[in-house]
Amino acid sequence: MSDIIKISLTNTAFNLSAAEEIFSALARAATPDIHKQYHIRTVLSEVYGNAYLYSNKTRPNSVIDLEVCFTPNRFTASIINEGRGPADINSRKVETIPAYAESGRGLAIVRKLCDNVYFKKISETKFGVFFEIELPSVRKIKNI
Amino acid sequence: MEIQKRMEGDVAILCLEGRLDLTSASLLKETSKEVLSRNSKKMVLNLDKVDFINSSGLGALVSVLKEVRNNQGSMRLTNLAPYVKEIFDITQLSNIFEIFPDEKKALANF
Repeated sequence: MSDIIKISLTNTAFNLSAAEEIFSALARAATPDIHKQYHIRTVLSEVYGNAYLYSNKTRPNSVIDLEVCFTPNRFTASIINEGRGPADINSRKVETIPAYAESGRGLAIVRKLCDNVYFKKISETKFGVFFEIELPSVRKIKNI
Repeated sequence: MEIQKRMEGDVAILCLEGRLDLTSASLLKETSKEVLSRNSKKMVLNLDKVDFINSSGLGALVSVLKEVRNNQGSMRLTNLAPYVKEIFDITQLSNIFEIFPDEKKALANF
């Protein structure tokens, strides 16, 4: 049994702020584990933030699609935006980022916090990030 | 995000509250610039009430750190929540920031 939520947001500054509130609510709905809630919120924020910034440069007022699927032991999500995606996406790791760089850490954080993540050019105009975070069973959670 | 400012001797203390992300990064940078323009070279950022940080927030902190050092100043962070500290560790930024458990320890060490 799984629950699915689909949300489409135009990439405006207002929706960027609203999206952060939505991510917080989705994380709380996904698991009572506070540590995992923070991971879910962080990954959603990073991926959506990247989509927002990239879409804003190339296709202002385009739409970002978020799809989330909950099961008791797994949180899966996809974020799809209009654009081709970053060219160097597979080489972005913490170790390759200059210590005093002011950007470029988002996808490195995503890789560290997700159990599975992949990037896909869906078409000439759409790019998607798909990820999974495993959730502990409720009986094992100590930080509720 | 809200930022409260106060002085402890010659040290400017900025207490941050709320989300430190893309929407609040510019507020932090502007506030820090304002503090630096008053010739405060020592700065403590208390993150006790920061309940969320992402890479945009980290980028803003790195920007402020560089600005402070460019002005021959020094900057310290205090009161990082465990989840915030985890993000610093993941990104290896714990290596470039001076991080203290609380303001008292940060001030004693200046």
